[in-house]
Amino acid sequence: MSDVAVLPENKITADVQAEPTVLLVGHPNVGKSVLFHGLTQKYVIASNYSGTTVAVTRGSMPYAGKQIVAVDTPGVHSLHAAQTSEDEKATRRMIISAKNPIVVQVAEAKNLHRSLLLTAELAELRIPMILVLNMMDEATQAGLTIDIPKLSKALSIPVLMTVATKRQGIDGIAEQLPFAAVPRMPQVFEKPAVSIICDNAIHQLVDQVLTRKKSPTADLKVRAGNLMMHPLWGVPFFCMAMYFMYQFVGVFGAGTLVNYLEKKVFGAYMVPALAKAFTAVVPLPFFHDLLFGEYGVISMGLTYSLAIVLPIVFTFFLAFALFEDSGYLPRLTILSNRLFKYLGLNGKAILPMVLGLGCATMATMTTRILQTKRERFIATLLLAVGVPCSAQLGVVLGITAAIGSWAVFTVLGIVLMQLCIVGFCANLIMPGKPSALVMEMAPIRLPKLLPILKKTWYRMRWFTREVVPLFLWATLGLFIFDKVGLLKLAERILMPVVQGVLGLPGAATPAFVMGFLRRDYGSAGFFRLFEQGQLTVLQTVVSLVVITLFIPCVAHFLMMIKEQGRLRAMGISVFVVTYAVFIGWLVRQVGMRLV
Amino acid sequence: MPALDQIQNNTPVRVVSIEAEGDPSLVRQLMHMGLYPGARVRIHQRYPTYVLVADEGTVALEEDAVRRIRVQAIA
Repeated sequence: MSDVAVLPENKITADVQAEPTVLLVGHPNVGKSVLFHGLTQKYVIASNYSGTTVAVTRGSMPYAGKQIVAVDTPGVHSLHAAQTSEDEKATRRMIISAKNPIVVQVAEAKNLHRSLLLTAELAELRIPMILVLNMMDEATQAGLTIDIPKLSKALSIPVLMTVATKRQGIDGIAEQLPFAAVPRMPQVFEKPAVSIICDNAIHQLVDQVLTRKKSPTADLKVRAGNLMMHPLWGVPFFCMAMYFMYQFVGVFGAGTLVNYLEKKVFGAYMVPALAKAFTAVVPLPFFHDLLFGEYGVISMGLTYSLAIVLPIVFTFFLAFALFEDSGYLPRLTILSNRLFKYLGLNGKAILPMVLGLGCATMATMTTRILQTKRERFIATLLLAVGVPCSAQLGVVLGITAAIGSWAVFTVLGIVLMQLCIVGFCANLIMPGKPSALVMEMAPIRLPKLLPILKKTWYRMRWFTREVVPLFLWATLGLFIFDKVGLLKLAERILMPVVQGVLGLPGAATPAFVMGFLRRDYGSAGFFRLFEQGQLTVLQTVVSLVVITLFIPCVAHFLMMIKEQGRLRAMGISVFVVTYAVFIGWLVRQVGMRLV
Repeated sequence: MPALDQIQNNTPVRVVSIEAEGDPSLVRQLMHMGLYPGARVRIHQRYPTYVLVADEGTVALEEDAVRRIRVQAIA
């Protein structure tokens, strides 16, 4: 993280001899990352830049016979100091703190005017740069011709044309780097006027270099995009997308893949073989218990994270990347904006909310994309209250389906209702308003396999690095708690609540305690009780509602502390537990009168 | 000069100015999304949220922001 081109401020004026750092900067969706991968031979590190959710990729590229560092920065809409988004702050910070920076502005050739606006802002930073007009093929298709030499002369910087997806013109970038200069640009935003009438200089420049021909528009992609955000037709499209998600993640990922990995690979071969080999070398029962016992770090922690959660998360990330890259998510934002407004959020919250259906821990991290502290808090709260993660959803669906389809709708309906109630109340109670939606819509593009796999790979890597260790630590903690008797103590404390308030058998208590480590394990515990006939249908529904609303897994809890601070995370957790028990009690009371 | 929300769907007009009062960063945001003074724009849909199509970009906005955009008919 620390080596992602973030250096102390005092290193800005580095000596001329030092090797430059190349930074790729540009608006979102201009093909910056594709260009980056074409430009650099090997990537060195791809990590989440602190403060953003966007991966910052670093690589090396040739420059004057040497290999120098190149950085792919998050896409920005503006670099002005008054910008709002975390990405923009991060990118600006990276540019001004880089050692001997050279900026390569990647722009969409089709959008010359707005690209030059960004050039003007880069010029204000007084950093040498070159301008790359990418997606030249799309511009030509749209009937645009750009006079490159004229533009280059007017700006007094190198200007290049590329089609990154076809590797056209990419080699020219390295050749032109030594000629990078601070562009000659009139200051566009001299005064923060109440209304800006015209940014004349850029207009004149665009008029001089750009020729437009009429071209036919409205092709299939545009039509599909329109359908997705249509107030009426958008709904069946959404249902189809969700059904696909359910089939792919729920049935294939959580069913087929998990069964194979957990029961066969881990259960039948790996864990027993490891246990046998270990006992042969270290014949101490304590260590055997520690690794392979009931709460063993390997038998439980590793199996859980790699054999159960990972395949589910993998299929989910794959499907999610498909939605992202096709341009469906922004259309969903439009459809859902008004609904989210009632919950104190705006349409942009669809991203963490849908992601929460995959992994609530990661979703809590992505609440950073929301604009205000208030929105980030509400989104975190909602994720904690009632967005079931894919692992949990799988088990809940499995159990309720065994009872009958009405149970599926009852449990999910109750949970969804709580989500709305809590969000609505939070919006009412907390000072402030949800911020207005201002969002650029990426065009519908046919998703490409390689970028999707790459994205999924990065997210999986993040998951195995950040979340899996948490599971292992948590299992270790559980093991210790079990050994010193704290687990029994916790169960004894919870017993009156479980029996008295929720009306469940005492045997259900361990499932709640376990539910904190792995949400679905809690649900699975109830499944066993249900199968053994220890739970009535009503009791099963009550337990599933409570466990879904209940505190999320321990990894999620730790992520909440990281994002919201200890105090707020504790506050959210206490509220969520109390609320879950209260709703469980309410469901029981209503249920008893109905049955 | 009429505000953009007064214009019928799919009628192209030209952006003249954006009222920044109370929200100075909005102007900059919109310009970088393709809604700069001089840009051609049309309303694609109003519900559930406004979607504006300009020469250099498609933008989703709420009504309050659309009212701030002053436009004129294309000559």
